[in-house]
Amino acid sequence: MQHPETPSQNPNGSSAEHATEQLQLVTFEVASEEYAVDILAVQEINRMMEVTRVPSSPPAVVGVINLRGKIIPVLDLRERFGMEATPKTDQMRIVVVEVHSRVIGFIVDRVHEVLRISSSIVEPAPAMVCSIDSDFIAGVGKLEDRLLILLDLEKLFDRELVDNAASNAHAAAA
Amino acid sequence: MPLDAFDPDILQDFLTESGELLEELEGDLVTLESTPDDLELLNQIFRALHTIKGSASFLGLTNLVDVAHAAETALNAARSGEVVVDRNAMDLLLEAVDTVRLHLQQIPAGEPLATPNPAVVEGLTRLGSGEPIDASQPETQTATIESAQSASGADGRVISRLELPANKTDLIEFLLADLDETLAQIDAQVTALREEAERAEAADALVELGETLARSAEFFEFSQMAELAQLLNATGQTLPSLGETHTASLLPRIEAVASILREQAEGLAANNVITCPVETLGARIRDLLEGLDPEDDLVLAEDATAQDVLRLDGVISSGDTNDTPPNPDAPGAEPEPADAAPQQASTPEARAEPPASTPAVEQTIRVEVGRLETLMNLVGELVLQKNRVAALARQLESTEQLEGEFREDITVAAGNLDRVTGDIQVAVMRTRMQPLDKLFGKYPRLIRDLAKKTDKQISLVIEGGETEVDKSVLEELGDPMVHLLRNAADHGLELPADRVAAGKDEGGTIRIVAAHEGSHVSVRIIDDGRGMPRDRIAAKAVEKGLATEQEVAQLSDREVYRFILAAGFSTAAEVTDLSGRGVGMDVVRTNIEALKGTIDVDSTPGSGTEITIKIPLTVAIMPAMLVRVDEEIYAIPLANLLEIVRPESGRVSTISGQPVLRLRDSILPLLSAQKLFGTDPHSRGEAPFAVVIQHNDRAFGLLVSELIGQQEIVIKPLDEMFDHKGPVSGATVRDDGGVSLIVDVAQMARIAEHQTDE
Repeated sequence: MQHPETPSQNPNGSSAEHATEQLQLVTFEVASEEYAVDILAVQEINRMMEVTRVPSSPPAVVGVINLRGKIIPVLDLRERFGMEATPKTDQMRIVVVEVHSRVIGFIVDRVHEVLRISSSIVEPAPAMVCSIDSDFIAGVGKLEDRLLILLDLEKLFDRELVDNAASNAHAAAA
Repeated sequence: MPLDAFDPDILQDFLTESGELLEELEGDLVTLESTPDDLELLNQIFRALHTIKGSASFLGLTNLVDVAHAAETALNAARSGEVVVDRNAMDLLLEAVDTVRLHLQQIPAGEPLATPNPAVVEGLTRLGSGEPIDASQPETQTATIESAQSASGADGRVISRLELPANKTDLIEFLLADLDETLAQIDAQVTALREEAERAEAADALVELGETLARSAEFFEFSQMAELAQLLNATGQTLPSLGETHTASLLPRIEAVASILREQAEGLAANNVITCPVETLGARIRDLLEGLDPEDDLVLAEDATAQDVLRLDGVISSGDTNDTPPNPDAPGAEPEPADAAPQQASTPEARAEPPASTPAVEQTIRVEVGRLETLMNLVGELVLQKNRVAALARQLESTEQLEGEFREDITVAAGNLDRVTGDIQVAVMRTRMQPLDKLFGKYPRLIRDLAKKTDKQISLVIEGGETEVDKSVLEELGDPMVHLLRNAADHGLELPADRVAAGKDEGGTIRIVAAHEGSHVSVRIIDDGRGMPRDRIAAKAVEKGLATEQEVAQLSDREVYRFILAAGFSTAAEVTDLSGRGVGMDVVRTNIEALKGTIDVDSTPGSGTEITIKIPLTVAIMPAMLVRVDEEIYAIPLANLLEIVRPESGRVSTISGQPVLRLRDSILPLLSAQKLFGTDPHSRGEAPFAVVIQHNDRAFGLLVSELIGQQEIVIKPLDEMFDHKGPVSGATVRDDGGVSLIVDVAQMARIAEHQTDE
């Protein structure tokens, strides 16, 4: 489906270059904010399971899980975003994504839905759009009634950035 | 090209590996330009270059070695801070990289390697010596390129002038003298082959003669002579087991080989290298040796003489005689027999020879390594599932709900599954096993070259080369072994005069001894050289800040020798083409540790050095001890586990805050797994067991809460996110489906050492 919208709505250009491209996203909630990732990157969504902690790993990394014989790391997005941890709930899920042939899971508070939006309503993130540092925000989708934060998975799981998130969290704690 | 003498696989490995290294290296160099202070990066570049240079020097690629050596010299100066890698230096380095890349392209194309730009080599060398004046090194340019001037003979023969590097010219006289004698013997044995009674003995003699000749020829880089000599050697080995038809077909060909060798020897005496088109002849002989059916062979049909063979197999042109079908003159072109023979009536003997009498050839099939890898992974999965079923069966056994008979059946079935899985695992592992000889086969040549370069007499003794290891282990072992052999030849062994002065034989010996030790393979490299001076190593260690003088005084000899494994450690007074930069041992240690192996150094001043490498047979599956630490379960490689003790509180004391256990005669540092792994910090959990772990001669105790048991575990890698030098090296799936981390023994040993130091 092509919408006849003009690119002028998206003057700065963003990671979503083609103005009328359709995006199919999986949306989920972390600390009352709504996030989205490209559905093609999502391998599966699992219920919470036992996570094995790995010593001396960054705080954002909860540990590893056994995904049918493959050991994959699991991150806590709240930690990664520098937010406070909450106790486990039944609604929490582990979203498993594939980024550059690395398979990684992350914990979200709740998975919402699969959504189709036009890339023309996605704008680059303002420098400090929300409580999280905007490094790994690919853009913000302006829906009629709410905002959707599109995540840049590559940056989200970049080793150095994960490490830095760790040191930031340490600095905050200290 | 002298490179023809090498196994194409070896050459291909070199090209692939060096190509990859070069690519990384270039990227790293560019990064280095913006971060010239990054020592780790500098070391990494240096190591990559060093590896390329090492392999190239083994293959005799003089021009490549020259340029790599110059670049390495410059980088070494940069490492020690004498030189700053500025823009000019980087230009030179990158140009050196370009030259090496060009070389890597020239090798597969069969072209001679380009002479490196003298300005680059000089510039880098000068950079390395830290002096900006021109101290040009003319020797770096005297590279040996195969002679371009050659004359083509009328019958496909190529005659070129003999050109040898300076260090080999004086030796050619010896070769010629030897050659005369060897060829006379070869002729005699080849004649003896015709007599059935003497055949076996003559064949044996040929094996030896062929090998000796091949070695000498290889040394002088007479590739074709070496090839022919190897044919003699191979024939000697196989001929006695061949049937009558094959033998009849082979004999004239072998005579032909002998006659070509004779011609080449005469050519050499006149300073000419004669190269004949022997491709077809060689291929025929190899086919026959492999038991391929020779019945369509004109040699048999015509009861041919050696001269006929030369003609038939296209070594000399058909113009020499006139009674045969037309024979294409082009060297290497497949001559007529395949087409012409069907029209000729085959001899009755050939027909009478039933195919069944051909020797049983080993049935093999080539399988892509990738497929074996997949199979291996699947077996890994199977082992996990088997463990799981076994665990469930054990649970069932203890429940009361099932009928006794049914329970028994399940237990039996689980037992069978266990056995079959074990068998499959071994069978699949065996498909990937290769004898160490495949690796060791390269070393005689290496040692001879080393002996030549160092003016030493070295004999190499290899024992246990038939020991098999996993393919990946074999590959990873290559580099460390070459480094160690170089060290032994260059530093370990003395010059003949020094040896005599020390009351030893003139010639030194390097022994490589391989053996199975349980689930491990040990490879020892033993030289009978001067050994290592403890004092000098200790002094160097202090100088490098690896230890203080008091600490060094307390250390055992072996612990002192271990310092040579540290990065950038070298006591060699002068840097040579071969070794002495102190990177070698660092690379060795890193490679061995990557294989989950250990390396141990022992030396007796005056009588030699012994280096022991121990590596697991396979890197995918290993036996481990599962232990509980508070609420978490960890796996400790069984290979590193010495024993398990329950320290009584009275035997634990502290040395400057560090808990130690008096265990029999020794004092064992104790590490708290709870602390190291950071399990629940508030838990006052007991840790009553000390798992005594050994790594490289050092032992320490790891305090854990509970012992769970021994299990075969499948090693799974962790995501790069965990590359933090943490205390774990990988993960595995337990039989209950949960994940356990594998304790990184090498890392723990380092931590233990550190704690003791503080």
